Amino acid sequence: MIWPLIVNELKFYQRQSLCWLAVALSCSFVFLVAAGLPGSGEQNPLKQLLFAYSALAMLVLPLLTGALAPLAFLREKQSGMTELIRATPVSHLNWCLSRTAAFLLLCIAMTLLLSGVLLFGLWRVDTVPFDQQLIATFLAIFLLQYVPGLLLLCLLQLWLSLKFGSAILLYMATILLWAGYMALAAATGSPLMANSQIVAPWLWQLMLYADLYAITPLIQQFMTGQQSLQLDLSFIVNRLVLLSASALLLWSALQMKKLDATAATSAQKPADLAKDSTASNHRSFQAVPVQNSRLNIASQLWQLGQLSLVNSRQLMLHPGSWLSLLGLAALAFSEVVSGVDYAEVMSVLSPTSRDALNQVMWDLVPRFGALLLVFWSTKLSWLNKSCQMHELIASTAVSGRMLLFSQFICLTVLLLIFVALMLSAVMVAQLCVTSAPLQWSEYLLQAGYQLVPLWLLMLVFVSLHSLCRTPLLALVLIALVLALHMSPLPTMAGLEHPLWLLFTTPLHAADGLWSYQSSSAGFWPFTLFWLLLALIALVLALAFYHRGTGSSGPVLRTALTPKRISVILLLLIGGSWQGWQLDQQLSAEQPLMFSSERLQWRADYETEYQHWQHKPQPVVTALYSAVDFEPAAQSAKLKLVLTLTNTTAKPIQQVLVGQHWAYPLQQIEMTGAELSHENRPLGQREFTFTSPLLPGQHRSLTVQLQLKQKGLWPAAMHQLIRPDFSYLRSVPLFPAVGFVPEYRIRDNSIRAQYGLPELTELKPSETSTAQAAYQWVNMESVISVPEGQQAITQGALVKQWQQDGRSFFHYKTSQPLRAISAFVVVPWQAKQVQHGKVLLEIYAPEQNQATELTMLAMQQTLSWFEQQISPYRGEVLRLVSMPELDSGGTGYALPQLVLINHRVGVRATQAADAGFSQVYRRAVHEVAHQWFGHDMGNGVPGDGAFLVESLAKYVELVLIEQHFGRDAMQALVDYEKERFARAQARSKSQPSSLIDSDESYDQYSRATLAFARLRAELGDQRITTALRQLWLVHGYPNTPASSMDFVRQLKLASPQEQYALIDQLLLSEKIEGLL
Amino acid sequence: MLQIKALCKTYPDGTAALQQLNLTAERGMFGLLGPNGAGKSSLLRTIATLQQPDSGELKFDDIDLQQQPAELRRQLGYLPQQFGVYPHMSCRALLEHMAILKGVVHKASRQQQINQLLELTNLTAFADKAVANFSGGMRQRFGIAQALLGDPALIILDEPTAGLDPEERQRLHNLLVGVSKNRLVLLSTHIVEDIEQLCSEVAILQAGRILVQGDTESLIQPLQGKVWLAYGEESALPASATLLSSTYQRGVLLQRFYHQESQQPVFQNAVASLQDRYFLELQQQREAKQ
Repeated sequence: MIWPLIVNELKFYQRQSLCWLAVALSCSFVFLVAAGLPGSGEQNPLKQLLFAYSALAMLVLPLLTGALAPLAFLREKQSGMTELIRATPVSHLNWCLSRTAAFLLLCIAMTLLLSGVLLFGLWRVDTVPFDQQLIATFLAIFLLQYVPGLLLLCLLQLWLSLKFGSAILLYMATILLWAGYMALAAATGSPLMANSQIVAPWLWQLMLYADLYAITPLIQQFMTGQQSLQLDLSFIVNRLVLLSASALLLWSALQMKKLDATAATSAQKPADLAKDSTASNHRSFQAVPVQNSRLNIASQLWQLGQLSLVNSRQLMLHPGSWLSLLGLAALAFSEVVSGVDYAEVMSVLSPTSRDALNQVMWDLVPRFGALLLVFWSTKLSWLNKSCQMHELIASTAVSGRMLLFSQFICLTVLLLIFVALMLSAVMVAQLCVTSAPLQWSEYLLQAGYQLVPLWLLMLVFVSLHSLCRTPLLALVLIALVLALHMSPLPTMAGLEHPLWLLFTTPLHAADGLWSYQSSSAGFWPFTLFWLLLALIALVLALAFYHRGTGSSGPVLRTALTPKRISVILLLLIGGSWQGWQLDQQLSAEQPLMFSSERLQWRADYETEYQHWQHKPQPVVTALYSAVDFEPAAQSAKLKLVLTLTNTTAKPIQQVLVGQHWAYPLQQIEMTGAELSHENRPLGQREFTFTSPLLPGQHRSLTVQLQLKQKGLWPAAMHQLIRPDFSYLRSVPLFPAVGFVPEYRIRDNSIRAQYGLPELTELKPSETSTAQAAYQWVNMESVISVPEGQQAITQGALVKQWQQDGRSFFHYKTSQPLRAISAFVVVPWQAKQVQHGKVLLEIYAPEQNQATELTMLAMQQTLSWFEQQISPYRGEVLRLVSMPELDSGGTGYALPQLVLINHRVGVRATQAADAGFSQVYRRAVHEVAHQWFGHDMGNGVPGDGAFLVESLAKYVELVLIEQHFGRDAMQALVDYEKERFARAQARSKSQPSSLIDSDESYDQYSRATLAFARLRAELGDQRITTALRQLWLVHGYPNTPASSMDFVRQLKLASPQEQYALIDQLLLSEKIEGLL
Repeated sequence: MLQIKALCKTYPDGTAALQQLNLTAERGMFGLLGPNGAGKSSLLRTIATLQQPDSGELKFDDIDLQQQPAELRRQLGYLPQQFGVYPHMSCRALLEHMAILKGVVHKASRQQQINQLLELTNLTAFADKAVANFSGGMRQRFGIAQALLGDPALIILDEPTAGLDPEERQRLHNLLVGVSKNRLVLLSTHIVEDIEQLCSEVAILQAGRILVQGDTESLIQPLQGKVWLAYGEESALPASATLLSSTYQRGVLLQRFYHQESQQPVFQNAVASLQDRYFLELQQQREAKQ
């Protein structure tokens, strides 16, 4: 009985254009995602396959089922066929079963197709080998991950359809499910979500057993170091929970009544006409005369108000609206309450209104605001049609302009209500959990920054609905706008220009250190561009508006009046001009070179100049810099004099001087040399000496360059100039002498695409130090800044003076140091402490408990190194607070200069339940880089990560134990153990030894665990003996040390029976015993 | 008053709804007759400016409907064949809303007109009830009330009596007669009787064209004395007769046919009606096609 019904359903789907559209769109999406996947490299194919399919499940399955569910379960209601269908002899049981089964089959068929597209994509980019294991894994994933997940999704849609009978509610529920799952995934450290971390352990437990796609139990298997998948207990329980939930939904659906024929589900008894049947049959109509001429402005405004009021009332009374608003307000409240004082794991801060607002205003509000606007604009634009009042309304005298403006007003009001509600939720949460006063100006500012782009989106959404004849077409276009607005699709599709990110601006969340200085300059120029674009859509909508009927609107000749054409042309010219201006300013600030162009540049550079690698070239031995900063104008002028010395045994005739593509040099001269060739596209210059540069001889290279930042790009490491914080690093700003091997493309599959030969790079464990050499220089700098600002760089402050309203700072190093110079300008005074021969300085907006702890960490680290390894080489060590930056990290060490994130380094304090202080740990780590990184760990190409990061982790362990006790050290080990377990579970890389690994979780967390073990087994004495010996043999100016040199020294300092342990921990890929 | 010349409308699926349609209508009730799919609703929706024709001219008084749709809408009252209502809105609130959209912004006159229309449509007792919960007949009366809002000069009624009981239908007839005294009421219906009772002028549509148009009386007059009744199964109609209708009266077959003369005494002469003319036109059209 059911099977014919199912076949009938499938035949129905076959004829539905929506199904084919869904197939086309989802296949395109999956193909795009697959096309954007990297090549195999060193990646684990099993994890690649699992993560790719899990991402597909998470991103596509809910949307697919959500988009098609109304077709499956609500089509009779939408088509007014409910009573016809109800009158057939199909029982409710059969209706439910046949509809669900057919829908499930449809979804399975579509998912199989999508899986095929993804599999093809993975195979095409050589991510996974096409073998039996792949097929087996794919089948297992499909049967155990997808099918149960799809079953639950289908039954959920059935239940919702029967319960609410509204397509809009189905869509809302789908979006909530889709976004909610991703939020949960992000809150449980899913490898599918970038930068995700576990917010609460109970959430992890919840996902372990209730994860719709069973991704969490599978990740847990990887966390134990397992490299293959098994049906373990948590996976089986997860699937059983899912099947039980599906059974419950089906049972509940079967208990419900069939879909009601009318919108009024309460089925009130219709009022009876007969009651008044005695009324006269012969009343005549005498029309009250009304003014048929055009309404005056006051009347029009009143009409507009009334229309807007009715529209707003209709939307606000919709359960989807108020449920969403209440739900989002509750979510905002809980987000602020749970995370307002979070600085990082084990660290808290005293939150302000800005911190509270930042919890929700930069992700939750814009994302859900946009989704709410989709819902509201769809509902409102097609309200009359859905109520079948479209013809009544469209035939009235009210103008299309009035109808549209009333929609804009209504949605503006709703948008204001939404933002006000979110602000209120944040405000209440702030008052509940903090004692910080409410900063009204911050609330208003953030509200404004969020309202403007949302309002523009609203204009566009309503305009699209007004232009399109069907809601489906409008929604497809809106989905495209949203995909470009807030999904990674543009990047995946290779659309890298910022203007592809529709209706977004570079504005970032405010930072406690420098407010919106990172990105605020780009807000209004971008907004103006989007406004002009939205206005074009608006004028077109006014011209072609279908008045809510979906029928054909005005024809071209009546719609496009000369006045409208003029307005559209004006807007087009304005928009093009503004877009061109933005493009030019962006290029001036940082050339818009797309990744393909960058790769081409690298390939050309290598092809053209690789022969220089074997030519003897002079090296920079001294650097004089004169830098004039104008932080308020976001500009800086640099004049550099590089002393080039021939350190080889042969005379040098020619020298290659190159510039980075992003920072063109304005003027360049070399004493005793002439420019013999210049390659402008690649920015390379060849100088020929008038007389050969003999061994030991010097020449001067003088370079001038000017930096001007408009602030259209958000500030990012390592070149930024802003009023309250400026930072320039010499790499890659300064000219490079000779061939730069780092510019070469390293990925061999990409090299092949550009016709480059395969590049064989030795692993650190195989590296030879025969060609290794330190590149250290003496530095001298004169920096000028406006009065009130402090200029900071390496070396001792020789002199400081005022001239022409500017402050000058003269710095000089007393001995060579690693050739990475940096200039920082801040408006704060330093806190200074003399520690032996070393002056310690901390620059921060405020000096507090955290800066005192940091100063203590600096002193204790210096003392430990002096006693155990080698004293600090410089006279001054400076530590500067830095703001939140894209790819800035939380700490960055330069020679004699350390940058620490203000939020986690100055504002944060140790959480009550934390075993150790992150502020102290980070300060120790960054200061330790003065030895591990800038003393040792440089000079050997391709090697150094272990000597830099892993050994700094060792120092963390030692100093925390020395000064805070064994428990604190153990807390650090436990913390890193958990981080390592999760990171290696989500990693797709092939395992490698600690020395050879280029994964940060190995270099940091695994190294902590390895050194904790080595300390326990060998003791600190042996490790420090090895390190001391390393400094004696390889310290500057001797031959630099490689990672293997440390291993050898460690073995020399250890008894032979420990060699196996050293090999296992440092040279083996095995991680057993660490977790 | 209303002038339509060479009006054409073809839908995207290829259906030619209106083909070179010409029509002129003066003040009063004007009836549109035609079988399903004849193009009545397409014509009315086009006149109501809800859709654009592909070609042709449409004028109401001095208003060019294609160039000045907004002008026409200021004088239009429209009742579509099917319509719905907003949820959560009472009859009075919805009439208020519609009145405002129609430009009746003066509160006193709006209230006066709404009260009058509620009375006329017998909805006063239900003015504060949600229209979404009205029965079909009541909702139709609400539709008529809203169409009459704003003193429209042109009223378009597409199947206005659908869902009304006989008493309500009669009441609507009375109302429409009053309404149409100084305005044009375009009435489309399947019920020929309604048009015969109400409309002074009629047009019969078939396949997007006007088959015949004229004064109702003048359309019927040529058939007087030429419509015959034949009772019983055995009656053989003359070969040249045109069968107009074939019904049963108390179980006995009753055939109405058109013929110049009786030929047989068993046939009774009948008083011709608009329905006879309607069926005759359709029949002749079919025969012409064959």
